[in-house]
Order: sequence, then C-alpha cells, then structure tokens
Amino acid sequence: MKLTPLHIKESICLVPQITFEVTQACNLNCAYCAYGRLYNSEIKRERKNLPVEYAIQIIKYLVSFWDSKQDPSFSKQVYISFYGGEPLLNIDFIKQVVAYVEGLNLTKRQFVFSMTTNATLLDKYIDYLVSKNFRLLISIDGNKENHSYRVTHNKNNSFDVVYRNVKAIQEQYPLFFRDNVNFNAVLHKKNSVSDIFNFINEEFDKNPTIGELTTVGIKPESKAEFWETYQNKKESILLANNTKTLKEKLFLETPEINQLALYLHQYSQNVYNDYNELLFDSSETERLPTGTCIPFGKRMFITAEGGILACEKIDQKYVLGNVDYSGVYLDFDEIAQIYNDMYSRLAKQCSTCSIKNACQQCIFTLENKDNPICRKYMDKTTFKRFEQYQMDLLRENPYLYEKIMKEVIIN
Amino acid sequence: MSDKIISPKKDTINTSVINLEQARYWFILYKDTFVWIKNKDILVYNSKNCKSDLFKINDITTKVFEAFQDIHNLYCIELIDLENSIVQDIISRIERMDAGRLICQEKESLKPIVLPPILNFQPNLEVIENNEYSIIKGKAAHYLNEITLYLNKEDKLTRQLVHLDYTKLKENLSILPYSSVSNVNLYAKSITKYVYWEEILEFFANNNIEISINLRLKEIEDFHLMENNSFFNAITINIEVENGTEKDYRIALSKLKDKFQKINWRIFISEEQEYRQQEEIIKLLEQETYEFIPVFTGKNIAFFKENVYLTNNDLKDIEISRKDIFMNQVLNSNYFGKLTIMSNGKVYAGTQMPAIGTINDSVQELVYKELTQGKSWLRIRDMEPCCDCVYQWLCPPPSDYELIIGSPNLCDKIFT
Ligand code: SF4
Ligand code: SF4
Ligand code: SF4
Repeated sequence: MKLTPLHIKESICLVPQITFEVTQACNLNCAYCAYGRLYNSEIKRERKNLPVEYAIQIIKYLVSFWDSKQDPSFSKQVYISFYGGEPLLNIDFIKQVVAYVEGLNLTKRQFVFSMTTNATLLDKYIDYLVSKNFRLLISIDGNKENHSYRVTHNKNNSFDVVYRNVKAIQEQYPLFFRDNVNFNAVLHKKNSVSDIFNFINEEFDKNPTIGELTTVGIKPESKAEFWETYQNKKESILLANNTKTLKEKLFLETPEINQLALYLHQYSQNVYNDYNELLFDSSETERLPTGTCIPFGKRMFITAEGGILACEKIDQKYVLGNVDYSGVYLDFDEIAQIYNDMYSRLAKQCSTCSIKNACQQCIFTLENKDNPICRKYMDKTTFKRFEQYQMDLLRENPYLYEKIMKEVIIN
Repeated sequence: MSDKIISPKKDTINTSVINLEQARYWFILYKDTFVWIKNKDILVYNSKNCKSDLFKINDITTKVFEAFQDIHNLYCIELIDLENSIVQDIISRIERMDAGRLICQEKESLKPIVLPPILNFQPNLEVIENNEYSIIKGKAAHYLNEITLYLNKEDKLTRQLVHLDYTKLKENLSILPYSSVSNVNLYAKSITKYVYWEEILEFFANNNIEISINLRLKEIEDFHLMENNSFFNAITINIEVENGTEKDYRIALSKLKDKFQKINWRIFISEEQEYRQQEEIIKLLEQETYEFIPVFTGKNIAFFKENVYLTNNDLKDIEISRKDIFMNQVLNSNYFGKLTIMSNGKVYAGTQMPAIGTINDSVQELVYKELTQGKSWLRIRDMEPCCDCVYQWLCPPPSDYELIIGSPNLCDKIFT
C-alpha cells in the first residue's frame, strides 16, 4: 500500500499531539545529549526560541481541520506539549500558547497540556503548571551518582536541585503529583535499570520509562566515548540480581516483554484494534510498509526554527513542512512522495522480510537514507528463531499471555 | 518415580489408580480450537475446518477441558495415564476433528506452547482499564457503513406527504465521504416527489456511493421514472413483494428491466403455502436475485419454528470463522454501522429500538451515542438463556425477529 495525500489529510485532522520545541536552549549540558557533542546533527543549534506567532499559526491551521466537515471524530483529546531544550526557560511562550488554546472554545477538541522537563526550574513555575493541570515528564537518571551525567554548564551535578524540586511537588501537591507526574530516565554506564527503577519506585512511588542512548548519528571521532557511556537495556536487566521480579515489575518496559506483546498483537490473530477490523476482511485494511507511523498519526513536532516534523525523536533534517509568520506550508503530495520514496528504497528488503507485519523500524532512524540497510530485517530462519524465542519466553512465564491479552493497549 | 510427578499439577491429569512407571504425554489443542463449558455441556469447535463435538460433563472430561481453559496452560496439558477409556475417547474425538493431538514426551520433552484464541479487543480494554472511549470518539464517523433514508411518508390523517428535511439531511450527509458508507438505501412513499431528488442523486453519484431504491411491488405502477441518466448504473432496485401475483411481477419487470441492471426481489412470506406460490412465480419469470424474508404475524409461530428456529442439527452444522466468533463476542453484524433516518427526522440504530436521536444531531454524535449507550449495534448473545449455552458465540447474532417474537433465543434449546 502507498501513502496518499488523503491519508495525510486525515491524520492531520486527527493528530493526537502537537509538540513545540519551545527553545533550543538548555540550562543543563548532559554528557549524552542527542543535540550534544557526541552527535552529528546536520542542523546547527543555537539557543533559538520558537516565536509564539509560529505556534499560533500552527494551531489556526489545525483548527481549520477540526472545524471542518471532514472531521470524523465526535470529540478528541489533543495534547499540546512543550519540549526543548528546557521548555521552562521560555515560560512566556508557554503561557501565551496555553492562553490562546484556552480561548479557542472548540466543541470537538479537548486540550491537555504536557511538558518534558529537567525539573531544575520547577520551583519557580509549579503553581502555574498545577493551575493548568499540566502533565509532567521529568528526566531523572536515578540517585545522585546515577544522575551525574546530567550536569550544568559549570559541570555541577544537577541532582540536588532536581530532587529538591520534585520532592517539594510531592509534598505540596500530592494529588497533582500522583496523577500528573511521570519520570523518564536514560540508561548509561553510571546507572542500571535496577538502580533507576528502585530509586524512582522507592522515592516517588512511580514506575519510570527507561530509554537507551540513541545509537544513530554518532560522530566518528566520538565513537569510543559513546560506547564508554552506552549501556544496553536488555543486558542491564539480565545483570540485575533480581531479574525476575524486575521484569515482572517493569512489564512492558522490559524489551523482551515489549517485543512479545508486539509479536502477539501482530501474529496471534487474537488482537483487534477496532470494530471495523472485526467487521470487514483484513485484505480491505492493508498496512503501510515498515514500522514508520503515518506522518502526524502520532504527533506533529514544530522545531524552534519553524520546521514541521513527524516527531521529536528523528533528525531535524527530515522536515516535512514549515511555519513562519505568514502561515503554514505543508504539501500533502510532496510529503506522500517523500514517504513513498523512502519506502521504495527499502522495498526490496521489506518484500522478503518475515517480520514485516510486526515491523518496528522507523525509516527516519535508519543510517544512510539514500541507500538504507535495515538491521532489523529477518529472513525465514531468523524469524523462526524469533518466534521460538517468544514461545520460550511464554513457556517460562505463562502468565504473560493472559496479562498481555487482557491488559495491554498498544498505542 | 518422584512424588512431584505423581502429584497432579494444574496441567497434569493423572487418572491412574496405581502409579507405575508410565509414559507421559502432552495433549494439545490447536490455536483455532475453541472450548466452551456451560451447564452440562462441553463444546469443542475447530474454527479452521468448522467441525464441532459436544461432550457430556463428567469428572474426567471436565477436568481435562477445564485444564485447557486455564489460559496459563497455553492449550497444553500433561497426561500420565492413557488407560482410562474416557480419556481415550476424548483424545480420539479431538484428533478426529483435527482440533488437537497427543504427543509422547519421549519424542518431544519440551512443553509445546499454543496460543488459545482469546480476544484482545482494544476499544473494550480501554473502557475496562481507563473508562475511556478515545478510540471510538476519535473515529466515530468511520463506523458508519450503511445509511437508510425514508425520504417521504404519507401522513395517516392528512394523507399529505411528509418530506425529510433536506437542509438538515445535507448537513449530515457531508460526512459520508469520510465515513465507511458505500451504499445508501432509499425508501419513500413517492420517491420522485421528493423535492430534492435530483440533488440527492447527484450527491451520491459524485461521492461514489451506491444507491438502493426500495419499491413496493404494488406501487410500482405509480413510480415515475426520472429521465434516463448516467446514475442508473449505480442504482440497485429492491422490489418488496407482499402477496404478489404474476401480473404484478410482470408489470414491474416491463417498467424497470430495461432501465436498471440490478433488480432484487425481496419477498415477504408468512406461511408455507405463500412461499411455494411465490417461488413458482419467481422461477417462471427466471429471476435470479431474490430472497425470502419471513414475516412474523403473531399467529404463525409454527411457521417460524419450522423455518427460522435453529434445530440441534442446525447448531451442529454451523460454520463460522475464528474472526466471526470474536465478532459475535463484540458486536452485532446485523445492525453494526447502520443508521436509519425516518422522514420525520428521527434516527434509529435498530428500527425495533427507540430512536437514538434526530437529524439535528451529527452523525459523529449519533454513532458515539449508539456505541456507548445504544442497544442495537452492540447487542450480543450475553443474555439468558444464551449466556448459559455452549453455542453462545457460534449462533448468529440476535436480530429483529427475537424482538418481535419476544424471545431472546430462536432455537430448540430448553434449559432446566
Ligand atoms: S520515531 Fe518514526 S515511527 Fe516513531 S513516532 Fe517518530 S516518526 Fe513515527
Ligand atoms: S526490512 Fe523488515 S524490519 Fe526492516 S523496515 Fe522492512 S519490514 Fe521492517
Ligand atoms: S439461540 Fe441462544 S440458547 Fe439457542 S442455541 Fe443459540 S446461544 Fe444457545
């Protein structure tokens, strides 16, 4: 199946999240930052702020879809998310966007504000964030030692400030803390999955999400340093002295369990995402190639420069459109073309790939976009082994099947 | 032999009295096999070849199938003794219907893993876990797949035609190209007297939506033909027949045959004799696309029992796919996705149920309402006595007949 301009139009109308890169500036200088010295971004980063006018142009543009006859929804929640750098360095932008969105008064869209933050400035702005019912995703890598890559520009560990600020929220706004605050940690050589999990669980009674350092786009001269810093999540769980309980607690945060859930979702023939999937034949609901989301199907990311991207996790060179003071430029035909070209460059590999129905590979995270080679490709033998692995996992943990079938919502 | 092995585990069935050195077996069911245990029955259904077998409850049989139903056993149980005749009977019947097999552990020591067919339906999980309907809310209009419009109707008192409000209709129909609707059914007392007939026709043609016009056989003479135009190819004519004579049929054919390529006969019958008569005419006229629709008059329950009710043999012969079993667990395919708009503007998701709204409500709102509070699209066999019956998910979904007749199950099953 090919991506068509109509797919894009529809996904823009139903976009679930708009993420603004509020500012490129950050008051921390984390050693492993994807915009930092280890990485090779083709885009030069200054300390630019995103003009409020750009954000308003984007929202106006989307309102024209939300208000239109072609909107199939009865109502829909849209996340308005603030991302950085450190978004709280540009609180004026946030306040103005929030005020603008609150003034919209749309019947078919409800807005939820959210933010990813390093928590260093939370003491200053928490009253405002609580008043607007913000969802907060706080970056913390574990205890002080675990957190020591997250340093200020003067190379001081930011842990004490972060910890103090987060504890203050927990004490002053316990309900807000319970319902609106979550944690994300980066795994590296100075922590472990078990360290992170135990710390956040004991200190804050929360289960964190844990990410690895991105292995794409590392400068050749920094490779040695990168691998000194990198730690693999699966291995980290295996090395823990409580692997079994850790896996049970982490559940989908365990890479193998996550993979098993995806496998069962795609290959068990027991999972249906929608009424129409049950009602109509599956041949009528074909899949797009690779594991890339439909552009804007998950979110729309606006860079501080005014670039429009499919998400914040991919290199900013993959702009799909632009916004400036005069308006939004998005050409659906052109975007469809970009995607279809990328698909076709992989088509040969995908056509014989046995994992294609549960593909998790995003085309934008492959190295060498002109001549990409997918490392997740599976031939029949590898896929058999992969399936066997899933069965072994179930044999050892039979409870997982029921838990995944009865509890797991994908997306 | 160690105690551990002799003591029955949840997935180990040992029926032997004396525990000697015995061969051990895996007994597995295949992934397309369903097992239902209700009251005195155990039904095993292989959705791949549509074979089924009904077992009577007894200690051992129940133990075996309950072990299969325990999801944690992943459709594989361990058998220690095969001497027992009941166990032997189960194995041979399961193998005969190709629903599973016995494996000697000497050949395969590792426990086989099979994924039992249990449904994970994402919108329902969302409701159970978060009390959230975001999937339904976000795509409401996508669930609409058929719309029936009553364009006008004669008022009983004044004998005037009451027309469906076109301005409102047009507003509502504008979502159709973004829905799953590919066919619209039109009913009218007098279709061509509908003031906006041409517009409506053009709208559907422009959006590639096919039209079915439903006409009563006896009223076809009054049916004014529009000018022949290109839309005709996209039109299906359904002729509703009640007590039609050969002459009526011939008039209809002479009037419609040359203009319309697709003509269906929908013949309503309430008794055997009528059925035979109509069948004779339809065969004589060499018509191929027709269906007989039983009508309940309140006095012909015997006719229904004979022709509509499911007998034990019908139940044994049911052929339904794994996906359709899941579908029966979630939605009613007789109604799902269909809305009927009456000429007075009332909107129904099932015509035997109260209206869910009016033409002033948006399609999105109507769909959302039906999916969250309605009684038609999601009416499944979860009521008594079907919920206590092993055929619960194999039986066709409940229809208007159950409602009109006033019985939840149209079958021979009597539960004591
Ligand atoms: S990483 Fe790729 S697939 Fe994932 S959200 Fe971003 S664009 Fe979509
Ligand atoms: S080769 Fe396989 S894993 Fe890689 S993108 Fe294609 S389908 Fe996905
Ligand atoms: S209609 Fe109900 S009671 Fe009758 S066989 Fe079907 S499920 Fe059982």
